[in-house]
Amino acid sequence: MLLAASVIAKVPGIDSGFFRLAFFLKLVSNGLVNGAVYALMALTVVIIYRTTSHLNFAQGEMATFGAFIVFALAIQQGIPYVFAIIIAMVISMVAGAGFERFLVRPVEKRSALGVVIVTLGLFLTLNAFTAAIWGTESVDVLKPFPGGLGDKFTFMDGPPQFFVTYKAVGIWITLAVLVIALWWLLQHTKLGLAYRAVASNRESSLAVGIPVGRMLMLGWAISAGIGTLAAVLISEQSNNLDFNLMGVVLLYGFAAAALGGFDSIVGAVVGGMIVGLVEALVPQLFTFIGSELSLAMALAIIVIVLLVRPQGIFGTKRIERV
Amino acid sequence: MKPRIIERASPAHRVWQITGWAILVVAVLVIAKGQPNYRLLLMSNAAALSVAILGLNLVVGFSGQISLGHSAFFGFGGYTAAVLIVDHDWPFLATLPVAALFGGVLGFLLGLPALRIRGLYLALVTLALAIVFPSLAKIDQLADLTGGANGKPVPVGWHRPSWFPLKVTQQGWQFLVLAALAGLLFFLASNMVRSRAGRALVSLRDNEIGATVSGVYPAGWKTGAFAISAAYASMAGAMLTLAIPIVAPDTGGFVLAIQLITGLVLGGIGIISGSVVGALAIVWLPELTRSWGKFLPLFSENKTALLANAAYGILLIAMMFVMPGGIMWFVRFVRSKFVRFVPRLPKVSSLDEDVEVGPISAATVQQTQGGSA
Repeated sequence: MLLAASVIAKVPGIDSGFFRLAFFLKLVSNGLVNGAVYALMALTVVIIYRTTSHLNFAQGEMATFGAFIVFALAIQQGIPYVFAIIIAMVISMVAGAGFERFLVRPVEKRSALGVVIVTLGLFLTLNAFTAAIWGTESVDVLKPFPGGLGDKFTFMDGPPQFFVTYKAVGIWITLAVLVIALWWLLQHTKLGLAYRAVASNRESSLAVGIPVGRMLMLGWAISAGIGTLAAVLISEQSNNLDFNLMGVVLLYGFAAAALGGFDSIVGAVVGGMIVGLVEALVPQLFTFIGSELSLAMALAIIVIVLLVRPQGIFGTKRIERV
Repeated sequence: MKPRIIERASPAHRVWQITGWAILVVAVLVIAKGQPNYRLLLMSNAAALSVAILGLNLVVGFSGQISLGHSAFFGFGGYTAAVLIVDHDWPFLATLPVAALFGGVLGFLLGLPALRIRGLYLALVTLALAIVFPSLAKIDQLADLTGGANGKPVPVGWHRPSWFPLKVTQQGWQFLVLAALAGLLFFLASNMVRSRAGRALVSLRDNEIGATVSGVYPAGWKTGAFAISAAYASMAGAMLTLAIPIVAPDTGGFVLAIQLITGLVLGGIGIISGSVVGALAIVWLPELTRSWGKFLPLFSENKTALLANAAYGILLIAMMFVMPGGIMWFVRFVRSKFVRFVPRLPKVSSLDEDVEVGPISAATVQQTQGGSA
């Protein structure tokens, strides 16, 4: 999206620069960087959906609030980024678990609609409080990775040059570490086993003595923590930090989750990458689409997935029992 | 005290209904005549929003699906009216059916993929629509049509005709027109939910599998309901151009969508009259919070708009805990202590012709209704 703005298309149809290898690779790597962040947001959606079948529409605002905590700690207080991010993630996780326990669960018994409404209320409240505390203007950008002009790996000398910034590599490594940690947690610990049991069948889990409530809180906690991390990365990647940071990103995250399948963690990662690539490549391929319309592509992806394969690429088909 | 039982469509019920509508009409006339202009503008706003909330109510309350994108239909209707009025010199009233038609078609096209599948997919698609709409309205290629990021001015300028007996100001006249239109649309909607279509939708909401087995085609009815709901929201957007002579991209954004949902929840999900209460509530809430700003250090100075949003959010959550049925549910609950309206049961056609079937007593009706009214 950033690059698309700088490339001025002269002729309608396919941009001729598209076929230059270095340019193409640059687009792909850009798409994969954005895609990694979308994958993180999709993960937050999937982790909650698997156990509860709810979508948390306040996910983005919770993440934005977390990013502002990092801002307050790292930039205003001067604490090193690593510690600031860890502290913010812990605070987010506690808040996420609290939201599940005290706001969502009491309402959940009554209706699924109630949960949607509560998360919307949370969206408005958090959005307003973030803006009230830190203002509506963009503040200093979070830069956890070195982002100077020379901080890059150059693969092909120019022009056009193909390089990958340290920042991009940092974002990919973050995603990889996170996915491996999540995989280890879910597949190789007792806690993960309990979480998967709840995801597969809540009633049976209850019957064999799994603390279902705590597993739901765990899901929200992990999701909130990952969300905060994603918000920090998107701030670095998009060079921006304001109270509406995640409004659009969450939509891409939902599109990625829909594409990959709402109950698949692998799907979230693959879906995020595909959405990132589509967002980077399609406006170059068809220049009349323009970068303003990249948001509309998120809508188009959701609609196409619903038409062609409603359960997503890796999702399991829901079977209704009569 | 035992509550009085009144059968629907009985003369006594008609008296209640006519009295209710008469009080409403008198109230509207008194407000249009007596209130200052800025308040009339708010009331006009509420009249238009009530129609949008009613549209949302039709889809949430009567089909159990939630739409997070009714603001987009609202904005779309506003733009449709603006283009017709400004670029094609249409009269204001003539734009309303067109806005409804366009909004309905758009709703149908979006509802079709989402409503085939159970779950939160409609919420997802409509959320995307609400986030995409402002960016679509802003793009340069459409600037001739939409006026770009600054919006499009719509000077409707419909003055009070000379034959109209009540001397009201321009704002008063606008409010009267919008209130009359809203009244008509509410009447249509309340008839619709009691019709075959309404019953089909309620059966789908309450037990989809059961309804399907009984021959109600889920995707068709739900998509139809969503299309009508979108048409209502679109018409509401067109209506608002009478009172507020500009349409802007952010009208169709996500924040308005949540405000509409707030109004719906406040008024009462599934209760037609709740939509009016909800619209009044969301229009007056920012007026209330404006004066609270000075008591709250966080929201001082020019942050009162944020305070209103925070209040909407907290209200939404609080309502789910305190009064999930909404204000009108509570009003009905209180009313049911004094008077209850029960449906008229169909005449019993007995298979055994020898048995005389007596008229159903009020007590029987109450039993079959389970005491709910």
